[in-house]
Amino acid sequence: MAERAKGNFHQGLSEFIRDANPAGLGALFQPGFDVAIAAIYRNGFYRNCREALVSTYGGVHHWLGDERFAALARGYIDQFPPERGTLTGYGANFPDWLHSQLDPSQGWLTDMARLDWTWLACLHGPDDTALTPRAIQSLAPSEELGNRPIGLLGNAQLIEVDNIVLVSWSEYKTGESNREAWPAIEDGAAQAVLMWRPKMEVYLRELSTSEWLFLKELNRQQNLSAASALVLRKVPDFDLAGLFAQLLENGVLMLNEETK
Amino acid sequence: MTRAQAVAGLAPATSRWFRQPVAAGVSLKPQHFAQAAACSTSGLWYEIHPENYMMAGGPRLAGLEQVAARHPISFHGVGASLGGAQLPDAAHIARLARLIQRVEPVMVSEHAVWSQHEGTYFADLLPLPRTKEAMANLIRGVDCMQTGIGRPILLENPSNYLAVHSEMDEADFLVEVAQRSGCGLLLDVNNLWLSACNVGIDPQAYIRALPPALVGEIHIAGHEADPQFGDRLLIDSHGAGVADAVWALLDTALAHLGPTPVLLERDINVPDFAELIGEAERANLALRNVSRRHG
Repeated sequence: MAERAKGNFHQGLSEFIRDANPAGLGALFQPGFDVAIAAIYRNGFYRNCREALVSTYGGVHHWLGDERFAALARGYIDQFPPERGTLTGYGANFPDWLHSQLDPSQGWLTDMARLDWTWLACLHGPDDTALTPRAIQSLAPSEELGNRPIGLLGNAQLIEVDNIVLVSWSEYKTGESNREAWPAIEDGAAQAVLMWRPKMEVYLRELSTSEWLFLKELNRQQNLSAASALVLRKVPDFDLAGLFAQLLENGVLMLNEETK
Repeated sequence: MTRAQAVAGLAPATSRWFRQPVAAGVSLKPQHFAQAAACSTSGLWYEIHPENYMMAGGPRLAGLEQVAARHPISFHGVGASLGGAQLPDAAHIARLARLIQRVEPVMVSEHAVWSQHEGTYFADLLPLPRTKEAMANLIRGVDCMQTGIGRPILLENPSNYLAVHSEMDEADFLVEVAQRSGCGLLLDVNNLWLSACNVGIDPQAYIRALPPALVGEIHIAGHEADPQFGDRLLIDSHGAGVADAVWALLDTALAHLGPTPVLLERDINVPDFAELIGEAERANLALRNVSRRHG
C-alpha cells in the first residue's frame, strides 16, 4: 500500500486504541478534549472484535461463560487484531491460540473451538452442486468414473476431535447442553468427522478410520481411483461401494470441474 | 418510468443519485429474510452492510439474494477505510466488487471515516480532522473505491463525539470531497443530531449548506445517552427507536433537499419485522408531506 500522508492522527488514535496511550490524540482532537470520551473508540474496537469472536466461537463461549471468554478474547485481540475490513471470518487461528493459553485440563476447549470454526467454514463455504446418483448414471458409459475429477463439496470439512467433546458440542448446537456439567474428557478418544452442506444446512457424519482415510485422500487427490487404491491397500475388505453410494445419496460429492 | 417514479403518492425522483425508490427503506437482517422478501409495502427497499456478506456462499448470502430478487437493495459499507493513511485495501475492494456483481445493489455507500491503519482493522468508524490534507486523503480513498467497484458511491457524514481539528465546516468539507471525487452524499440526520449535541455543530446551517443535487439518501436511526456521561455524550447505537428530535431534523432535511430515499437503520435490539416497517412508515409520511409541498 502506498503511504499517502504523514498519518500522525491515524497513528495517534491507533496507539490509543491498541495501547491506551493518549499521547497522540492531540493530532486529531481539539485542545481540552476529554480522554474518557475518546475511550469510546477503544471500547468499541474491543467490543466489536469480542462480539465477532462470540458469534464464531459460540461453543467455547457457552462453556467458558461471558466473563472468562471476554478475558481470553481480550488477549487474543491484542495479539491478533483483525486485518481485513470485515469481521466475517475473524479469528481463524483462535483455536491454536486458545490451546496455548489454557490449562491442560481445559485443553478440550481447543477441540470445541475447532468444531465451532469448522462448522462456520462449512456454513459459509461455496454453494457447490452435489453430484447425484442420477447424474452418475447419466455419465457416458465409456467414461471411467474412477478417473473423473470427483471430490468433496467445496464447503466440506474434515476434522478430528475428541469424541466426548464432539458429543458436548453437538448438544450445545441442538440446545440440549447443560453448562453446569462440563464434559468429562479423561477417557475421550479421537473421532473423525465430516461436515458438509449440500443445500443450506450443515450436516455432520462421524467417520470410521477407513472412511476418514478414504475421504482425506479423495479430498487431496480429487480422484476416486487413487483414494480407493489407498484405502483398499490398508483395509482390503473395506466396503467402498457402500460408502460411495451413501456419499452420493447424502450429497457429499461433486464433480471437481464445476466450481472447484 | 423509473422504479422511483412508480411509487404511489411520492414525488418523482429528481436527484441524479436516486437509484432506490424515493420511499422509506429499512436495514435488512437475516432473521427477517422471509418476511422482507414477501413484504408488499410499496417502494420498500433494504440496506445491508456488505462486510457481513463477504463469504463464499451459504444461507446468509442466499437469503440476501432472495430478497434482492424482489426488492431494491442498497450496500452501506463500513470497512473500506476511505480516509485511512493508506489507500483502501485492494483485497477488500475486490471482495466488495464481487458481491456487487452477485447481488447488483441499486446503490453503494460508505463513510467519511477511517478504520484501518498499518495492518490493523479497528472495526469502528474513526473520525477524520477536517483539514486539506485529510480531504486529499479521503478523495483518493473515494476515488480508489469508485474505480475498484466501477461505480460512484454516496459518502456519509460521521457521528462526532469530540471536536476534531478543523479548517472548515463539516458540510463544506464533505461537499468539496463530493465535488472533487464525483461521489454523492448520504446525509445521516441521526449522526448530525449527535454531532450537534456532542460538539455543537449547527444542524440547520449544516443542512442548508448541502446542495440537494448531491444528496442521494438520508439515514435515520436511534441513539442512546452514554452510561457514564449521560446526555453530554449521545452514542450512535442503532439500537433504539428514532428520537423525536431526529424525526424533526428529518423534516428539516427533506424540506431543504426535497423528496429523498430515507433509510431506517437498526443494528442492535432489532425489533420484529412488523415493528420495523411500522416505524419506517413514519418516514414515508414525512416523504408524502414534503412531496405535497414540492408539488
